[in-house]
Amino acid sequence: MSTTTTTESAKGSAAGPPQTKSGKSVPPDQRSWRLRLNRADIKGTPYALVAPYFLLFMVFGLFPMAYTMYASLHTWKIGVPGREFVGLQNYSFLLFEYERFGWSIVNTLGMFAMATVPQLICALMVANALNKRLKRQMFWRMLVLAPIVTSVVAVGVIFARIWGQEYGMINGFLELIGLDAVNWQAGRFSSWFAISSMVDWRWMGYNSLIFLAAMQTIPRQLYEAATVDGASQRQQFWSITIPQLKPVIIFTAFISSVGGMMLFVEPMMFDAGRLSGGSDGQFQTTSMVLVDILRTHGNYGVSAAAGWLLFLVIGLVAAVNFLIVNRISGSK
Amino acid sequence: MKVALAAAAAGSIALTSACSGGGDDDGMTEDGKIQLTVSLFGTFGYTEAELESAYEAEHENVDVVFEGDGANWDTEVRPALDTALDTGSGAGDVVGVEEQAAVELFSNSAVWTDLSALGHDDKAENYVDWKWDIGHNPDGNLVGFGTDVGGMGMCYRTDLFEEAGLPTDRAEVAAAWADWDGFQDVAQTFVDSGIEASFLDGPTQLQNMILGQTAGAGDGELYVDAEGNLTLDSAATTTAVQTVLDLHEIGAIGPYVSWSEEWIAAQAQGGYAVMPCPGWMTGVIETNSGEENAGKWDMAAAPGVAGNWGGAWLGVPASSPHPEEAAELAAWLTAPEQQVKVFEAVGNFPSSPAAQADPAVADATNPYFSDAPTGQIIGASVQDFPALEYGTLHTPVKGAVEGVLNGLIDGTYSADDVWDAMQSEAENAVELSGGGL
Repeated sequence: MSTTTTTESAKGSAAGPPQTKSGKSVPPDQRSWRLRLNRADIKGTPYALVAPYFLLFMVFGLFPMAYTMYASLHTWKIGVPGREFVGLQNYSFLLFEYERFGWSIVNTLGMFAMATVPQLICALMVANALNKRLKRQMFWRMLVLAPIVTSVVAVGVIFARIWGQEYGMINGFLELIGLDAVNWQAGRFSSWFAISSMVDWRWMGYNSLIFLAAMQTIPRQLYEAATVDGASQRQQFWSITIPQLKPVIIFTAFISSVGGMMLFVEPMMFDAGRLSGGSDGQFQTTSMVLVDILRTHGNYGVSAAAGWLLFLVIGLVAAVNFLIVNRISGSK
Repeated sequence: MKVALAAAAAGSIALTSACSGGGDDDGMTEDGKIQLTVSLFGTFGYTEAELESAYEAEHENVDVVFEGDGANWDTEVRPALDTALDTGSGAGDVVGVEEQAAVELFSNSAVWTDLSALGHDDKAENYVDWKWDIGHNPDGNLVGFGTDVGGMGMCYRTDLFEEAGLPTDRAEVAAAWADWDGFQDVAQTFVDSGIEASFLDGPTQLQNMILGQTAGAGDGELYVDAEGNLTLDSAATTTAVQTVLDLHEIGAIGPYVSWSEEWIAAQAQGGYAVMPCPGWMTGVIETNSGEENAGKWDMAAAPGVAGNWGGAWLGVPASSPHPEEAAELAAWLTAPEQQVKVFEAVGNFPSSPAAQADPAVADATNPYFSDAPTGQIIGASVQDFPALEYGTLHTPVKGAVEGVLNGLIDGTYSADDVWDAMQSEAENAVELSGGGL
C-alpha cells in the first residue's frame, strides 16, 4: 500500500511543476486548481485506497456490534411484539441466574487449555520435522493440511463414533486391554478430552504450516554457525528456532485462543447437532449457549448480551495469552 | 490515479450490492413462469413421489421448487423460518410446519395467508378433524393444510425377543403389552433373561409418546399451559416421567440418545430391542439397520390408547407474491391422491380419511418389517386421536425435560434429582423463551 502511494505521489509531483516552469503562462486560478487537485491526490489517495476495507468493516463489523449492544440492553424476542429497555438485566441474568452460562465459560476455557497447548507444541514439532530434508517433502506437507479441507460435519460424525460409548473405537481398545468402557459424553473432563482431540486433529496442521513458513525465513547461517560451535540439534532448536519464531508463536497463540474461545462446531457435532452440550451442559461452550438462546428460545436480547460477555472474555484471554507468550519467548 | 479511485469505488459498490442482492424478487422465472418455492424439512416425500413434474404437467405456467429435504426442523428450519416470518421476506411460497410448533407459529395471523378467503374452506373432509382444526388459528383463519399424521406403533426386534424368551408374533406381543403395566412386565422379562442388549433405545421417545397419549386421553395438559405457566405436575408429564423412572430402575432403558451416532449404530448392531415407531420411523430404521437386518424387525400395536407423533402442515406465508397459486399448490399437495402417493413412496401416513381407507394404504405391509401390516396398525392408532395443543413454550421446555432424562441415563442425575433438575431447567427455558427477560 505505502509503495503505491509514494510512486503515485511522485508521479503526480513530477507531472505538475514542469508545466509552470516551461515559461507558458498558466492562468493563476487554473494553476491553483491543479495544485489543489494534486494535493488532494497526495493526501486523499491513500484513504481512498483503504476505504473499501473500512466501509465493509463499518457495515459488517462496527454496525452489527453497535446493534448487538443495543439488542443486549432490551427485551427482544421472536414472536413477542415490542422491545423494552431493561438496562443490564440480560447481563445479570446470564451472570447470576443462568448457571449454564458460567459453566460454559469454564468448559470453553477448559477445552481451550486442553486443546491449544498440546496442539501448538505438536505443531512446532511437526513443523521442525517437515523443515528437515525429507523425501517426498511436498507429500508430507500436503498431508498435514488434509484435515483442514475435510468437512467439519464429517469430522464430527466420525469422532462421535470413535468416542462412542457402546460402539466406539476407543472404548473397544479399552475393553480389549481389560479396562472398563468410558461414557465419554457423560463426564465433563472425558468429553473435553474427546472434543480436544477433534480440535487438535483439525488445526494442528494449519498451525504447523504457519510455523514451517516462519522457520524457512530463519537465516541458514545461524544454524551453520551453531553447528560449527558444536551446538546439538536440540540446542539449536531451543536457542535459534524458538527465539526466531517468537512473533509467529505469539500470532498463532493469539489466533488459537480466539478460535478456542469461539469453539462451536466440534462440540455441537459431538452431540448429534444439539446445542445443549450433553445432558447437563458438560461440554456446552459459550458460543453454543449464545446460539441456543437465539435458536431454541428466540431471545435476541439475552443472546446479544452473551455475545458481548464472550467478547470480553476473549479480550481478557487474549491479553493474558499475550503476556504469557511474551514472557516465555522473551526469556529464551 | 483517477482509475484507482474509480476502481475502488466500483469495487465497494459491487461488494455492497452483491450482499444486498435479491431485493426485487417478483417470484417469476426468467421464462415468465410463476415460481413457487416450497420450503420443507425432513422427509415430506414430495420429491420421492415425483409430485413436482406431476403438478407442472397440469399447470404449465408454474415452476415448483422443493427446498430443505432432509433438513432438521428444530435446529435449521425453524430458526430460519422464525426470522423470515418476522422480517416478512424469504419464507418461500409454501412452507412445511412441524406438529409441535404449529399452534405457536400459526397463532400469528399477520404472517399467514388466510386460505379460507381464497376459497379453500370446503376441504374439511380431506383431513381428519383434529388435523383440520389445528390448521385454523385462534382468529378463525384457515392457515394450514395437514399433510401426514404420525400414528404410533411399536417396533421390536424379533431375534432379540426370541433370545429373551418372549413371544415374537406381533399379535401376541401386542396382547402382552396391551397397557403400560404389561409393557413393564415384558421389559422385566427381557432384562431378567440377561441377554446383551437394552430393552428400549433411550428415555426420550418413550416419554414423548406416553406424554401425548396421556394428555390426549385426559385433560390435554402437557408441560406448559396456554398462559406459559409450567405444568410439570400434569397427569401427562408425571405419568410419562414416572414410567421412564420405573423402567430405568429395572435397567430396561439403553444409553442411546435419540438421533445420535450411537443410536444409529445400535439399530444395525442390535443394541436394543424396542422403540416407539411413528409411521415415518420405519423408513429411518430400514436405512439405519441396512439390508443385513431385513426381517429381524417387526411392528406391533403400541401399549395404551392411540397416540400420535409427528406430522406436519403446509401454510402460505403472507409475504408470498403469489398467494393464490401457492394456496392451490398446498391444497393439491395435501389432497388424498397425493397423500397416497407419498405414503407409497416414503411411508408418511395420510391425514386424509379417504387416503387412509385407500387399499394402497389400509392394506399396506412392510416387507422389511417381516411383512407387518403397518397401514392397519398405524391407521388404527390415529382414528380417534384428539387434537393436542402444543403451546408456544412446549419445544424449549421439552428440550429441558429431555436433557434431564438423558442425564438420568448417563448418570449425571440420580432418580431423586430428576424432578428438581427438570423444574429448574424448565424454569430457565420458560424465562428465556417466555414473558420474562
